[in-house]
Amino acid sequence: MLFNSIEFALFLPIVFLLYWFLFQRNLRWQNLFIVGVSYLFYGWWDWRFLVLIAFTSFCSWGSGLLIQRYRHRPLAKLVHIANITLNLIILGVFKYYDFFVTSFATMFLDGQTDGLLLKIILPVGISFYTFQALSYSIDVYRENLKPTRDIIQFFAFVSYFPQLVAGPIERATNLLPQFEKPRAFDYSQAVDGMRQILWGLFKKIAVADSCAVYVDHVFAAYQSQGGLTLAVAAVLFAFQIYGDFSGYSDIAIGTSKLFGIKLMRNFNNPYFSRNIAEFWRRWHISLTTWFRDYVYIPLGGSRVSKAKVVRNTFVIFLLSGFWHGANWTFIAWGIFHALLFLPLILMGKNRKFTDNIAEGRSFPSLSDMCRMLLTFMLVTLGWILFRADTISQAWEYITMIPHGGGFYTHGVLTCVICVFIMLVVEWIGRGRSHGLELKCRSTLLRYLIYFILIIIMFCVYSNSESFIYFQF
Amino acid sequence: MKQFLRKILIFTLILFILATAFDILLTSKAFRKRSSPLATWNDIFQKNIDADLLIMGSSRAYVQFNPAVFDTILHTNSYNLGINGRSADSQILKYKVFRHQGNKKPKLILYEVSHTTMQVSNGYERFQFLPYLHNLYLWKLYSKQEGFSFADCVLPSWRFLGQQEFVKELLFASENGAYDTPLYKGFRGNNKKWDGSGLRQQETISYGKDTAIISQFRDFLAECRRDSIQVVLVTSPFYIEGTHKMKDPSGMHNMFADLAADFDIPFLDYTYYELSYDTTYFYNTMHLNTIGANLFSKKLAQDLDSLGYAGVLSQE
Repeated sequence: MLFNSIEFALFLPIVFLLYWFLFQRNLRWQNLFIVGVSYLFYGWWDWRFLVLIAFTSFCSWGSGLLIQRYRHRPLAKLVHIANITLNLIILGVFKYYDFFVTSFATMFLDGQTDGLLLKIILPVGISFYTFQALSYSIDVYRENLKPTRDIIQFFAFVSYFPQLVAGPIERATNLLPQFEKPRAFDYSQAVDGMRQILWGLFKKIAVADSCAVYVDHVFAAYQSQGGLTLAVAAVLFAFQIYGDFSGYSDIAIGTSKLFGIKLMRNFNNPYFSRNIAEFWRRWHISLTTWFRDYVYIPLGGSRVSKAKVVRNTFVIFLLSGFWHGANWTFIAWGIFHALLFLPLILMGKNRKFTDNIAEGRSFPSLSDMCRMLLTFMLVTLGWILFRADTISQAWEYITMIPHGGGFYTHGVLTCVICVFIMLVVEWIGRGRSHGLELKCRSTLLRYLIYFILIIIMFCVYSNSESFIYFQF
Repeated sequence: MKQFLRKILIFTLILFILATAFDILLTSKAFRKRSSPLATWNDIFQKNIDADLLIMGSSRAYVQFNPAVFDTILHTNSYNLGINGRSADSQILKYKVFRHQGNKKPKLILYEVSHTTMQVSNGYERFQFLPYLHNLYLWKLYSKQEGFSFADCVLPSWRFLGQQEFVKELLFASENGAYDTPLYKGFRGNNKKWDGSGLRQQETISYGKDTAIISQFRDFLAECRRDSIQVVLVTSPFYIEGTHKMKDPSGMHNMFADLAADFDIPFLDYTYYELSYDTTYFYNTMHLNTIGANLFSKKLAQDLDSLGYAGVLSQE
């Protein structure tokens, strides 16, 4: 079920009303209801994969209990490793098996893969819920969290429908306790949630989907496009992927607010970053912090020798690239970002910009503006790797940009207008949790803004595309 | 909670009112169109079709069978229900809507059959259904074929989502819009000259024989027989070089001849009629231009007259 579908528009109010009016009196029933509707939400795509998510949840829940029971004994470590291995094997088989076999066959078997490929459909959101389940067992093992005995709470934590298929990847330490205590309806939180949903829909429908039409057209036949067209398509892809993914996150977080559950922030205006390190603190925050906490810091982080810092940085970015998909382009994208990040961390400048840009001012300084543009250009260059089918295609695309040629204009104006509106709104609200966190008191003005956004969405709507990050 | 629900309700209500107003604006504009492809639908829904002779088929009916010619020669009132770019699956549904809306039962149907008749329709000009989707009968008929959801039928403006070109056409174009020529009784003559398109594009032309559509077509013929509506199958001229590119043209002929024989109805095949050898009468391989269409309509009307159909049409 897509957030931008009519099914979800019916599903959400029904679930909301039942949640608050029928199940609120009994926490256990309310959690069970969340599990039920989350499984319905997920099963809408393919009910067969419900078995997989239930199995993953059960293993992580069971391992948590066993780790607690055999605490400080070798068995606890064994259970912990077994659970991580099992989760990674499931992820590996469904997501990476065919990639490894194809890569191996290309190198050693002249590309012959007859009978070797599994050709399994990738379960939607498998990387998201696997990582979420893993975070639980790691936190339990590290004694950062007490394991829950309540299997329903745990299943609700793993399958919670707003963030199940594309994040934010929640930590058990944040989300699980919210299932342990009764939720009370909070009017201002719910209203804010609705605004965030609207803003997420705008980013998805108006920005991402309009840009997708142009970008798909150009990438499908990039060899026959002029340099300017290629550059514009790359820039628009940067906004497409941002609108798509951060739009999804906004809808997820907003939806969750309606149920009295707070999810972590996943994007914090990443394109207003002044260097790559700041970009990574603002882009897909839930994944970045996941890797930081569960991989980077255990490896020593930046408090080790320079050689190890280099190693750790590469490990983290390679994993991040590989997490996105079974393709060399994602790995190359990870390496590209590692190369951009390394100089900053080695010079100790990775935490240079931790505040909001142009704090207390309306416009950035010239130097900040230049830094922001440079960072955006570098990130956009990386997105070409991310969007291309192969590395050689990405390289060819990049090398064609300086060449001249005609400019493909069809649909570009719509994209520019929508992107401009998004950037202005997000710039104004850069210190807030989302673009539509309005501070104006006039109801009329607020409603006017809402309806203008809805009208724009209606005007530029292109037949609904799925969310890019579902494939991860 | 009450306050929240009240605000949501107010917001939804305003949205609903705005969407309804916009829907009314668009549909009222659409209902006034006299150009293709909305003109025929408007005639159907306004019950304007009072025809004894009904012409059915794809674009090959729509641009090649001129009702004015049939009216003159057969002394009747005819109407062209041809639907551009669509096969029998869609054509028959259009006929069902036509009947369901209470338009007059025809006495004779001329059904143009050709290589695309028994193919599955590909959604060409899907927008033509949008203004009428609030009609439950039409929605039910076409929803599966065209992928319309129930929301398209019941939610105001929903069906126009993603149809910017069509909406712009309705709001800003002149009465006849991009489809310049107003239709005459569903017919749209085309004055274009031969451009050879279709001939260059296709290596071979094969004919459709989708079993589900053939079965649907048989049901249609059976229904006509039950309703005492006479049917004549007609294959109109096809530019000869196009016919030469056709895979198994005799197979196609036999398919329609067998159907006609099964229902004891005539099948008139003009594939090799003299017009088919001269590009003067065509604007592309499979479509006659206005001159060709008028000449062919005249020939067909005369043949029908000689077969005694003028008498059928004049019966009370």
